[in-house]
Amino acid sequence: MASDFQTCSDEELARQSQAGSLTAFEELVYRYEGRVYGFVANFCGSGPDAREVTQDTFVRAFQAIGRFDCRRPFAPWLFTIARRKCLDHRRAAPPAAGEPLPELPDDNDPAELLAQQEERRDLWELARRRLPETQFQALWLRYVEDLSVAGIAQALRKTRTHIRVLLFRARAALGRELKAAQGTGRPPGRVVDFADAVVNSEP
Amino acid sequence: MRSWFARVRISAALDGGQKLPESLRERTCSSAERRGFEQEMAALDHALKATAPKPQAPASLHRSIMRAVESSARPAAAEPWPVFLRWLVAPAVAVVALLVVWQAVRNPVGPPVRDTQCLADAASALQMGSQVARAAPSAVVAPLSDELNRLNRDLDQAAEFLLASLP
Repeated sequence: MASDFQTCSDEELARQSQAGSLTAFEELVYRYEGRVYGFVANFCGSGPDAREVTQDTFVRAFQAIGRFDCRRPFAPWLFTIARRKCLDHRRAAPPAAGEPLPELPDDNDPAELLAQQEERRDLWELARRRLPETQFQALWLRYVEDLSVAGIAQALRKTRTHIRVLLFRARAALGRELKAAQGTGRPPGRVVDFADAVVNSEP
Repeated sequence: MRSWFARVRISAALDGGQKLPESLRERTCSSAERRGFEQEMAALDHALKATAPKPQAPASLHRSIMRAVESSARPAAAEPWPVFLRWLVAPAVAVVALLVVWQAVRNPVGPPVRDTQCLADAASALQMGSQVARAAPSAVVAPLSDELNRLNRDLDQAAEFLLASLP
């Protein structure tokens, strides 16, 4: 039975879940638990909070599966729920008032210089730290989840044009960050090397 | 501004997996800046795809999700009515409509009965007001003559209105 489900599309599994099949829903959980956890961990931090929000996302999806339109793709619908759960979580547990604010970067501090170099080693870490949250969400759904612009628009509750502009701004900002890394005169990190290699490999 | 739009269109072409329109392609080729931007965006697009993380869920997450799902009560879908009940709805509505029509034909609604008691009360109140105005001693009434005149006028208007509103 489980092997039958493995060949089914997400939408077919959702249809069978609507008919009451818990096994079909479990297959959907198998397919999406890592993806939803990864998405949520960017905004709630990996750990117990991300686990809890991921769990809540699937419970909500199970409760609302009857309202899912099986003619539409499943992933944007699920990520819409995940995003809402992130917002609910943040609203319910705002950062503590006594929590120290992040320190402003000091370019002369060797520890800060080291941290900046470490940061640039990973393109996605750089994006997560430097981009506004909505831009990063759009970028994540586009490249990690491989959603279409229409799917991202559905998940983030924005228009397609807005999503295109968000993606444009996110890439442009990342491009500026990479250029800045090259212009500082410091030894370039791996990301810069990597981007250079990619640029040079383009015909 | 035109340059900004051109950049957005170059970027959007990456997301749609489409080629640039011919006119924009020509303009891009003629501008070193746009050409550089297009190359940068393509390189970044490639790099983002190539380095996209593959998120992994913690090992015990699946079990806890399924436990929570099983213990959560799915809102029961509304049970559809049995077929015979669905067929009964239309005849029941028809019977009720027939009964209403039959009742209306048998007992037609008569003309409204005048509520003579209300009218009599209103008329006596008007008369009393008029008598008070006339019977009061002139020493008392003189300083208030203007007010009394207005009161009389109002009473007259109220009486006219009441009479006019009678069916």
